[in-house]
Parts: sequence; C-alpha cells; structure tokens
Amino acid sequence: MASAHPVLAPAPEMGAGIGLKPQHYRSVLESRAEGLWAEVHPENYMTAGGPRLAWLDAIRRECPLSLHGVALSLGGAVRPDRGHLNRLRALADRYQPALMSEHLAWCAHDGTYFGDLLPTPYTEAQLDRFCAHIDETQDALGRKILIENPSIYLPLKSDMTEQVFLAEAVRRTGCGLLLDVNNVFVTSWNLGQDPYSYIDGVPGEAVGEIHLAGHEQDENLGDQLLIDTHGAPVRDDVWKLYDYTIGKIGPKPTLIERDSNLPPFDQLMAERGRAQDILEAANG
Amino acid sequence: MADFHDIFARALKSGDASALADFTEGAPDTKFKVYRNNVVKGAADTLGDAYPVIKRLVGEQFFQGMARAYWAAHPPSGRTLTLYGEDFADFIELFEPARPLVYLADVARIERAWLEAHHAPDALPLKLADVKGLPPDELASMAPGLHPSVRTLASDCPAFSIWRTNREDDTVRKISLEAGGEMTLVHRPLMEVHYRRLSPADALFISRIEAGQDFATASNAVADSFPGVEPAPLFIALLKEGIFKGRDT
Ligand SMILES: [Fe+2]
Repeated sequence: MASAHPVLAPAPEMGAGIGLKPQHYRSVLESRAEGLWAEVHPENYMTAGGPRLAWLDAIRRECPLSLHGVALSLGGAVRPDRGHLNRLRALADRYQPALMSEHLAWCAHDGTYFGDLLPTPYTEAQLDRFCAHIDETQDALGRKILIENPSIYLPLKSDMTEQVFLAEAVRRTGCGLLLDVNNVFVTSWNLGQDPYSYIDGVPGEAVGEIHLAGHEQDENLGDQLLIDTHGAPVRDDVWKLYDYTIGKIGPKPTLIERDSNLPPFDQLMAERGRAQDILEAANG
Repeated sequence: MADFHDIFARALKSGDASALADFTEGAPDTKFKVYRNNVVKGAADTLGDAYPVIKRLVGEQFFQGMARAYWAAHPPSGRTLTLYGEDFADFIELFEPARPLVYLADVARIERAWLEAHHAPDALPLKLADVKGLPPDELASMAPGLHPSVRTLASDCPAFSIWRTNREDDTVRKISLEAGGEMTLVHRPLMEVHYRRLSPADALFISRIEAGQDFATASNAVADSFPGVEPAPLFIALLKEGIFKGRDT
C-alpha cells in the first residue's frame, strides 16, 4: 500500500539549504545563492493566518521547501494524531514541499505534548508499531516521507541496532531516510561506538536528505555526553564524517540546522557554502 | 511496550527516572535529565518568547521559575507550541510569589492578545472606500462584526502603559499605579499588529459591533453613555484603523 505513493524525488536543483527562521525571511528571499533551499518545522505554521504563512508563500516561490515535522510522535505508543495529520496535509497542499520528513522518536503521550524528540527501544514490537505509523502517515499525506535518526543520550535495551531498525522501516514502508550526520556523531560518541561504521551500515540509496548541525558538551557530564543543541556551528569532526558520507553515498540535499543562538545570515550562509562546495565537488 | 511510554512520560513529569531502570542500559538518572531539561526548558523558553514584557518585568530567573511552575500545572496538549500559554495570565494572577505585582496578570493578557492577533485568520478589514457613497440608511444598518484579529482588554491598572514602555523603550518610563485603569486595543488589520489605548467610548462602540449590532445602534449607545463624545468621528477613526470585518471575508 505504501508503494502506491510517488517515489522520493528531491528537486534536482537542491544543494545545501538552511533551517529557516523568521529573522532570516527577508535575507533568504533576497538571496540568489545557487542550490539554496529552506526547511521549516510545519508545526510553526499551523496557525489560522498571519505573517509567517505569508512569508513562507513568498519564499516558496523562490526556492524549494522542506517540511520537517517534529510532532507526529511516530515512535509513540498510539497511532498518529488525526487532526495533526490533517493539518500537515493542508500545509503540504499549500506549499508543495520538495521533501517531507519526521523522526524516529516520540514526543507526545496520553494527552501531553512534550516538545522534545524522545528515544524508543529498538525492539520488534516497537518496529511493528513504528512502521504502521509511517504507513498511516504516508497514506494520509499521499506521499513518502523521510525518517531522521535521532541523537541518543540515554541508551535503551534493544534487540537490534538503530541502522537495522531504520533499514527495516525503509524495506517495509518504502519510506526514505533523513540522515543527520551530527546525530550519528553524537549518538555514536554517547554510546561508545564508531560513527564511520554507522555510516557504512546506512542504505545509501534510501537517503533523501542530510542534516548537519552543531553539538555541545553536557554542562554536568562534560565530554562524556554530547548534546545536539542546534545552537553552535558544525564541528570539524562532523564535517569530516560528512565528507566521508558524501563519498560513500553520493551528494544529497544537505541542510544546516540551526535552531538557537542564531548567527547573522551571512555567517549561516558561509557555513552552508562549505556544504555546497562539497556537494558540487562530488557532482564533478 | 505501552508500559515504556507510560513510565517515561511519568518520569518526565515528576523528574524521577528510577522506574525507567528496567528499560535502560545503566542507571538512567544523569542522562535522563537531558530529556527532562529539554522538555521543561523548551516550554519555558517558548513562554519567554511569547511574554517578553513579563520576562523583562520579573527578570530571567523569576520568569524561569514561574514558567516551569506553569508547565507543571498546564503542560502543552496541542502539537504545536506556537500558541502555548493560553492560561498563563490566569496562572500568574494566582501565582503566590508574583502577588505584589498587581498589574502583572493584566500585562500578560495584553501580551497574549498580541500573540493571538499576530496568528489570527487573515481577513480584509472594512475600509473607508467600501462605505463611501453608501446611502446613509444602508450604512446605518450595517452590522459587519469585528475583524477576526481584534482583541480588547480592560484593566484596573495602567496595564497598557506598563506594557508599552516595557515593549518599546530601552529605559522604561515611570508609570504610577495611581494612574488608574486602562483599556487596550490590539489587532492586525493586515500583516502588522497594531495597538493603542482605548477610550471608554471606543470600547463601548467596539463591544456593540462585536455583539452584532449595527453602526446606528452602536453610535446611539455611545451618544447615550458619553454625552460629550461625538459618535461620527469616533466611528470614522475606528473604520480607518481596520477594526471592522470586511464585506467579502
Ligand atoms: Fe536533524
């Protein structure tokens, strides 16, 4: 049933994009950077009206858009919220995004929305439920979505690795992957594993998008625990891992994710330019 | 496995992760705190963005404490935090440590009105050009209702003046609480939120239009209650501001 949906086809002109914040609306609109695209959290646009929606209309006319959801709770105990799916569908119809994505995580339970990407045990039972939730989402949206690997801080007892869990979800639902290279680095560091062998285990043909972001050390545990803050520049270790990833799976639309401690637009674009250069070099 | 989510969710609310030990590799405590902190700080930061004047009035530390207490009593239920904090002003009113700041809850109500107006449905307001040239009795019998972004507030304190100086000025002006009560208008006729202090006559006119009455009835109510006020210029001023709902929306 999932295979009835159109295949993932990122717009060919998508190079390196940036996470779009209201402070940068005007700059993005005026930028003519080659390959630039923008990603937003659709939840921030689930309003009745107002300037955010109008700005996004204008930006969508200039560059490709990605809707990166954070609130579907696909890794949750219960089915995706119907009202939320409907609102997502309405935004997708309005903005015709090139890409749509969600997370291997949960964020709501029993009437409370926690607003954070919470971990799930990688068990058979959880995998069955997760895949059913992806199927339901893809049916409601009428298209395939990408699933992002999370940053893990608290290791949970599991039957399989995260790569196997995700590869199985891809096989069963036809979904694609949003490979967050920073999350791979942070999770591997926190669990004492090798990030390069994580990349080796990812089904590259399923990857439709890559995320790059900054991380910081936990204020109590120091370098024992890295936190994916989206509040700092991409670290050199992560750039290295990104280079390796592109070499391994080929160029993919890549996003610089920055949600807090927002730098000036030019600074963000300089970071984004580094990813654009790597992608162009890989394209030959 | 539903158990896992139940237990994790309960731990997020209580801050006590001990029951999670069955599901984790190693003791959950310190690492669990990262999630708990993300959840609580995320909600408090969202409130801080929505209530910048309240934060300025009470300071970052007090605000964090108050926001965290609000989160514990009113965690978000919707899947977006854009309009989180619906009950924050009422909560502030009953929040014991904030009691000496008698104006705080009403200032929070104005900030909330700003946020709601900002995200309100888009609609064209009734314009002067729409009514120019109408036969007088047709204009008199129009009952357009209010533009969907309009919010009015009444306070026993000079809440509007306090809010405005804290919103606009680097160095806040001194406002005497003796100045008495104020009414506030917040609305977004097009893409920008407008606000000003309302006169009692303005407020009466607006409330009558909101109740579905026509322009003539609202004008008469103003003339009856405020003998010194001319209803016609008051009406024209409100019309120019875009307070009334447009005809085709
Ligand atoms: Fe990410």
